[in-house]
Amino acid sequence: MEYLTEKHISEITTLIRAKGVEMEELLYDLVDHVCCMIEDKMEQGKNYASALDETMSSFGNKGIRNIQEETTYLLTKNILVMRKTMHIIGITSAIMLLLGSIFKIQHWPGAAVMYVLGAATLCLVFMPLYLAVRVKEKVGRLNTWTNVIGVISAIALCFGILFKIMHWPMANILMNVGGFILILIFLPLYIYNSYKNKQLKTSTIVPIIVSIAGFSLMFSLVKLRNSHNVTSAILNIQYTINSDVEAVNKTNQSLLVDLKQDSISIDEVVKIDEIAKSINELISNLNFDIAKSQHPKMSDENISQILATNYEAISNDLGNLSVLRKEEKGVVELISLIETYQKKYMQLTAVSANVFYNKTNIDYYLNTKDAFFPLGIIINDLSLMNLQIQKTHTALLQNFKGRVS
Amino acid sequence: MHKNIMYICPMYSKELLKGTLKTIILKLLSESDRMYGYQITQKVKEITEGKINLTEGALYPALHKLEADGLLTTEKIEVGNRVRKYYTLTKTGNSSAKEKVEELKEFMETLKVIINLTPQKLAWSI
Repeated sequence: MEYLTEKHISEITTLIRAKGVEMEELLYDLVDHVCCMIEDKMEQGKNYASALDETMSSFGNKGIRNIQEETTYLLTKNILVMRKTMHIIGITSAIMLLLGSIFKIQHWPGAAVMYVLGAATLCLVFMPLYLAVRVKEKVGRLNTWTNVIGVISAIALCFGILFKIMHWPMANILMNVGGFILILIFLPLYIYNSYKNKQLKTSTIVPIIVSIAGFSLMFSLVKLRNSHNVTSAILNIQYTINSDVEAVNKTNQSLLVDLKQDSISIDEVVKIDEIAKSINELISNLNFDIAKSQHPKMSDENISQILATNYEAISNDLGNLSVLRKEEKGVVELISLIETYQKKYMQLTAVSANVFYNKTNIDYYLNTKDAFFPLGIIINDLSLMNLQIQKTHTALLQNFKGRVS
Repeated sequence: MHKNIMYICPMYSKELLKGTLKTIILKLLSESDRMYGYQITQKVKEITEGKINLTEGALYPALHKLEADGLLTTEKIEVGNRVRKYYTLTKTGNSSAKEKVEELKEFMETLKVIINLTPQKLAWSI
């Protein structure tokens, strides 16, 4: 009896794979079976092409695919419960994540709980179950490894995003690790796998395109927040305010010296000047403390230097609001100092001081349930408040100078 | 998901064959050292003179199930540029084959009793 050539066999293997046979073991059986059928037909005098044609069409359109389905069914009949559990858990966790995101957008309570529960069941129950089912289905070693790596990257990505939402540490590392495993290990394996199975067609290429494009978009979103131009433009505002405060303080200082030299009674002016100075000091202390709150390991000089010249290093971090809420030397004391200053100003000039500060934000810092808020915004608010007071104070000092001359 | 498919046989209905499929496979394997899939289908065709046509759609799922249950083992042998999988009974497979054949024999006896009942006897017994 004459056997088929290697070329024929690889053609037959490709044909059977293309019909949807994933199980390696079944593939061996079917290839041998089909070859036997063809060889029988060739022995009866048919040529290879018509024998192949006849044999393949004897299976019907879905015949070969159905053999695998039947085999999978028989092999996994006893894990039907497992499959059902997997489906139910998967759907539940997906719904929980969806509800969590809606609650989060609406600021309704319970969003965080839903996120954590949803992500935890998805990563710790659903995905391992999925892997177990795939292993039982005997889809072949390479396929199983592709699944394992895919699941690992999905778990890392999912937890990374959850950690990011919850402001837990390690979020960025998890997301990057997940993303890189996805792009650098999973995708090549997946592509190789489908290339080996000669399945490079739309149903394989579309998931590849979607995952590369999706990941790149997500990656750029993460990076957008840190766009250098935008960040430095915002930081420049803070530097401007800082140098403005410095300049105004100098002006006030020299104005006061001038007034003293004019040797008129300026006791009241000195008193209000002290209030202005203590406001200045209190605010720079608050800025320092809130910057330090999230970086307790940094030295004091380091923090002062960062606040003055390297603001970028911390401006994206979160500040601990409890620094502002403390009773002594906190924002409450600051507000009462400002009120005292305004009263004194009124007494001395008979004009109202007109200090406008961002009351909405300040109230928010004092009363919100959140413990943290972006550092850059808080420091901005406080510095602006300081600038207003010191500028008002300049006006007052100039007013007295005018009276003298 | 699950479809009853392709228990095509020219003479007997697929329901009849379905219940005895495993027994047929085990019995055939117990008669010889080792067999491969195509050989099994041909053997069945030969000894039943074509009355039972065991199709691949019925055979291979059953073989894989029997292997997963530990009744069969396989060995792969290179034959004519391709891999051929030979199936052999394990120890449990051997005893299971005997049990199944015995069970089927008994069942056939019982079936005979039912089938051979004459209408008179039926009426009388009622």
